[in-house]
Amino acid sequence: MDPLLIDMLWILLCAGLVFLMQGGFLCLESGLTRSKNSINVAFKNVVDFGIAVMLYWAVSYGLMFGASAAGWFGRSGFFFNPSGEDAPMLFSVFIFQAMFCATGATIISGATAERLKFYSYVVITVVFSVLVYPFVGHWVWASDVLGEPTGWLAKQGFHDFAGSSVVHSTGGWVALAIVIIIGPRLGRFDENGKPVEIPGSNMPLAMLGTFLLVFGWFGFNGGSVLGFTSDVPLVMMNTLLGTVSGMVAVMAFIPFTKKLPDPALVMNGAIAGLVAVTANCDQTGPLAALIIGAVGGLIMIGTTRLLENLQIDDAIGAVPAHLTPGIWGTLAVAFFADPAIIGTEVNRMAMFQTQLIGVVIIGFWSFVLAYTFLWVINRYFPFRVSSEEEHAGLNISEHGARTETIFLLEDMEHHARTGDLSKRVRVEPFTEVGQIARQYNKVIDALDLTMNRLKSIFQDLNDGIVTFAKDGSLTSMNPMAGKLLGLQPATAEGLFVWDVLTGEHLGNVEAHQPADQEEVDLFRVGAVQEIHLKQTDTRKDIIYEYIVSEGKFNDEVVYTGLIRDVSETYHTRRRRHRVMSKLFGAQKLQLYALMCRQALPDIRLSAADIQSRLERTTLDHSDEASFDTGDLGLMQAAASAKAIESLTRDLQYLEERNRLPGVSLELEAFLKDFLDDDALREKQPVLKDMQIDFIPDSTGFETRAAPRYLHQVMENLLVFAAYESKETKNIVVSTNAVYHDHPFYGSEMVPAGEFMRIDIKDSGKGLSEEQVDQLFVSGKDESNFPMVLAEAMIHYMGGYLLVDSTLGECTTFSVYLSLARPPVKVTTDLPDPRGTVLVIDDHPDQLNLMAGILREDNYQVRSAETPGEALQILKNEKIDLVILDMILEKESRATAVHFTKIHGLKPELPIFVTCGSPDKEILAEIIQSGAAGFMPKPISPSRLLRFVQRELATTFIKT
Amino acid sequence: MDPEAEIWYLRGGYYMENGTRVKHGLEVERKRLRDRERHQRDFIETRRLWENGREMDQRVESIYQDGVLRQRHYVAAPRVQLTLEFNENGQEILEHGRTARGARRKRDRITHHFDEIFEIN
Repeated sequence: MDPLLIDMLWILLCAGLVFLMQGGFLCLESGLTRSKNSINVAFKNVVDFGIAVMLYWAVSYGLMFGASAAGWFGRSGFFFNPSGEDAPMLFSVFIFQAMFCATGATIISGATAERLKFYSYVVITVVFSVLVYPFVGHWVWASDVLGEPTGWLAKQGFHDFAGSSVVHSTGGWVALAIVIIIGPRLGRFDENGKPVEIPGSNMPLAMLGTFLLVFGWFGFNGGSVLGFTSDVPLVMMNTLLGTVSGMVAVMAFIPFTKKLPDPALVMNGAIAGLVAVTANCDQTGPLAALIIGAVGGLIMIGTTRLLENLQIDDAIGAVPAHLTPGIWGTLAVAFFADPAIIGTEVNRMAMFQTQLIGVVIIGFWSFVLAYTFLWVINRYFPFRVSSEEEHAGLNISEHGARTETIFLLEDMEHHARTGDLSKRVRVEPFTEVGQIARQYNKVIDALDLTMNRLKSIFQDLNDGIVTFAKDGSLTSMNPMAGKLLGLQPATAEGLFVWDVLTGEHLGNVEAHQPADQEEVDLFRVGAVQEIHLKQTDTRKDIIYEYIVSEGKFNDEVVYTGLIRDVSETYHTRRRRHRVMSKLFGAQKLQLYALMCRQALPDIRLSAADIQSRLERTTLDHSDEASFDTGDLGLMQAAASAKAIESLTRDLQYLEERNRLPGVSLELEAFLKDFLDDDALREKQPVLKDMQIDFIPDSTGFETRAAPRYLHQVMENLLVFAAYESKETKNIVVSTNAVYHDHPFYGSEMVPAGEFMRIDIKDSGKGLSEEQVDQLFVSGKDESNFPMVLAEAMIHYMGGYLLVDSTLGECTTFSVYLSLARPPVKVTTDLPDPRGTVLVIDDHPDQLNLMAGILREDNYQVRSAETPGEALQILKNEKIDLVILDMILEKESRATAVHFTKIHGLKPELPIFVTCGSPDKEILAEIIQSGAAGFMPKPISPSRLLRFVQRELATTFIKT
Repeated sequence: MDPEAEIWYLRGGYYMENGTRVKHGLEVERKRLRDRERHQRDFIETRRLWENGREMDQRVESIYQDGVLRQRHYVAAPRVQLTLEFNENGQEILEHGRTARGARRKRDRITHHFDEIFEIN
């Protein structure tokens, strides 16, 4: 076979082996770097091959092997395309040499891994492949057709067989220049400059890469003969020995530096040995190869330490493995070249000198040119990625690549950012990361369980909890706090906690802190404080108990306030106190009561007897012409006796029926007459100059009361108010028809129902709690007997007397009297009914009242106390109109739901809602949803009938 | 070489044309010193090619000293000449650039070709 063909075959085979080294570098670099950068590192290895080979074809081969320009560079063979008989051989050599260029470029990717931008690396590859490597290659390897060197270094006698300096040192020098420019990776050196180990992600992969490199190196060196000759076996033998000696030398040295064998160091030892013998494996014997390889490995260790001391970060140790062993291998030619091979006339000093000059020139050219060029580029287009990108990993920042690790990190980041642990992290089965993810999910499960338990306590607690910052801005509240304060927890964040506690958002609540109570301090930790509020429309007292605690969260002070509505407890406590006080006073009155009881029948009989006698005496004298003063006196005495008799009759009535006799009374007219009566001011001088304003309700309701005793009550209360208003001389008397859906807790408890309320408001300075408690208790001096009497009278009239007083503000007496309603007539089967009305109310009295009013006016009425009952009736019967109480099931919000259900069932049915004190928001919501109208309570019969008539007049069809 | 050297060996081919010998083919000439004791060991061998009585440009000159080839000079063209040097052991001397990348193989391919044509073994 033609030797030329054999040579070409061998060269092409070796080119394939050198190409395999590219894969070896890929595996080595990916394995020695962190997984978050693995894709980027591998990709750079792939890309630099393409760029380097492309440029080599276009430019670099010509610069390297073209016709020499004075030995400095080639000037032919660009866009390589040979022809003629030599073309096949030239193609083969080109392919082989192109692999060398790619190998040199890829050395740089390892050193600069984990912080270099991708496109910056492309620029560096171009610089290496075009400006650095081909020139060095021309100086050392270019020759004419006869094999005579044309490069100036080679003409001097410089010898680098396979590229210790040309490829490896050159690549090492450029890598060194770049790692100095871009600096070390984040966290590679601590604040004291000590190196911090950054372990690789996959050591087995790195070791595979090393073996691929070794395997490929047989082609790297063996193919450098550029022919299959008897020299090839020696070259490959020396290559093998250089590898193993480098590896073994490092392993032997490690015990002197570290206790455990470092795989990365040993791998680099093998590579360093290979690099060292690359320059001289054609001219040395096996023993020399062993020595050269071993020394190369040790030099690698020394260089690694040196770089660490200088705080130069080489990610995979490429500089220590390629640069310095390459220099050593090149110099070693002079010491170890076998005279049997190169001739016996060897001048080693001259050879060394030549090799040294070559090494220095190559180093200078590679390092200085690369450093200068790249430093300028870096100044305007920085090579390095940002710290965030470096932390995230170049896989993501440079390539948008995602792995299961990225997924795990993303899911964990979502948890950290939102606090929403409901979604578990993704688990990739059969992966290490999947195992970590599974364990993390278990941790989250446990945390979730604990959180849910705490949450349920927080959510279900019957007390309100608010948390706020030191500036008083709310950060959270539990549902109970929202219910207490009338606020949606979600909308409360950011509001000022005092405004929320005092109902600023509600509009009808005011703070009414008594003057004898301490000012509330929101930030006073541990103390139990009371916040006193009052509803302006109903004057309902609201008292919150407030306790605050302080804590810290992430170095920020957080306050937690516990709020409890103690209004009921507060009034109960005060009432109990008053009852106890009254009990002591009652003992004294008990004797009076017993004595009165004993004497009443006799007094009554005596009074009746006196009256009848006096009347008879008066009548006897009545037919005479003269009527003197004695007769007038007799008549007055008869009237007084009658009054005594009436009083005793009332007392007997009280004793038998346990109440005072009451009648239906037009309250407004009664009060007007009472206040306009001059005799009152005559009797009570304190009222003489008093300005009394009367504001009637004008609803026309009648009350049930005993006029004579109501008169006494009003007088006693007005006198008290007048004494309180001595300076301001102003009292306001007003009446209101009110309806309570729930018991009203004030100084007295007023049950749910409808009342006429008389308010007597002075303009004094108010009373303390103790004073209010003592107001209706008989004292030793009996000075408050009128108030005691007034309260008792109201009580036995079936009413309630409340005192609303805040020290520092005025006092208001409220007298609650029942409304006088005509008896309810229950009639059925009326002829020609005017329609069927469904009345829904959970108060039987109200239900019967409305039913009675409607039946009186010839409507058929169906009644229901619960929404369930009502829906059943609606489904089974024909109803023309619905009247719905807004406070069903104690919740107007629930009524809104029922309204929606009813309206949904029968959209055409008109629905009126009624309520005593409606929640304006809910009422507006119901009206907007389609309610026909609203009727306030107490229900006015005329208004009820008017609404119903108007509504049904348009829809009623006579059958 | 000493001008008094004599050609003590000459071998070549010829053919007769019009009664004249026309040289054609390989001619091997060996020159030596008149020193009869060394004629087998120190000599210059020149191998030429003749074509129809005309001497070709290509030739190979080998210098032997002490029976060992010390120099072989290949002439492919007046300006394309290759000289190999050998030491006393007959090894090719590779100093000073003789080991440029692939140089030896390049020379081998050229000399191999010449060796075949000029019947050098």
